Amino acid sequence: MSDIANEATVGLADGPLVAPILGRVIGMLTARADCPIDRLDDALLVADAISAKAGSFSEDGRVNVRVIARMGSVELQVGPLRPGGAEELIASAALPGVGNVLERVADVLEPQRDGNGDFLVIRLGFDAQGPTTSDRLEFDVT
Amino acid sequence: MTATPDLELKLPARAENVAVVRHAFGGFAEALSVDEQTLADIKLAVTEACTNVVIHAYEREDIGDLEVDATIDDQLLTVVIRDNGRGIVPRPDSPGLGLGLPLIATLAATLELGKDGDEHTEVRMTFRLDEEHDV
Repeated sequence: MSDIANEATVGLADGPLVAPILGRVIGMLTARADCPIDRLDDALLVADAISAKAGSFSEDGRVNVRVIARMGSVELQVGPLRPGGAEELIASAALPGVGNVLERVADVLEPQRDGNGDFLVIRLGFDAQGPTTSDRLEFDVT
Repeated sequence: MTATPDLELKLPARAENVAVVRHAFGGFAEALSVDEQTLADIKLAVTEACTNVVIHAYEREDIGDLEVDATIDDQLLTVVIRDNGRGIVPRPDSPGLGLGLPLIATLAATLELGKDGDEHTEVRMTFRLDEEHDV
């Protein structure tokens, strides 16, 4: 049985729509995986970092993110990115006086490569509070 | 050739994800100057179309994808809601009141029902972002 509680694939033209829409999608899926508030805040921080820079490192100027919410973690697969784009995206998240936001909040930060290009996998773990909100909300829409 | 949409979103066609799509469209207001009434119309029409996918497109045990594309061209927003289900067919056992599509037709500037090149069912609607509303 899959442990995936929910997932979404988002593709956005780089520009003003990226941050407000990506943040909303990541925020909702993370919250519904019963992520505690401190890690939800971290997930939104990561969403902002992706929104700000990922378009610069993609092959086509788009920001593409697959969001996978599981019991106890949320994983973001950012890409396809241009060659070396995953490492560049990590480096771009460094803030003076703060350090690298991605490195500080992610439990897994892993550049990957497949036939479609480079990807950056970002995973945030947390102690889920129990059955996911989506489990509790399963109801008959009819 | 069709331009790549400004927004592409794909999720499992589950009730909870209708709210995700609706919330995502709220992002348009943050990024663009869309008046409240127009945004409310867009969100309601998109919600109705997505709800139709969740209720009607797939058999209960065979949940497929809910796909949403949105493209802004000048002041015209085109939204396409797509699924790979059984298509828009009459359902004598329909649990709804049948108000969804007429409501969308009222709210949107245009509404088209059809199939894409891959035989996916599409609801295509457009909205004028610069439309003025009486208060």
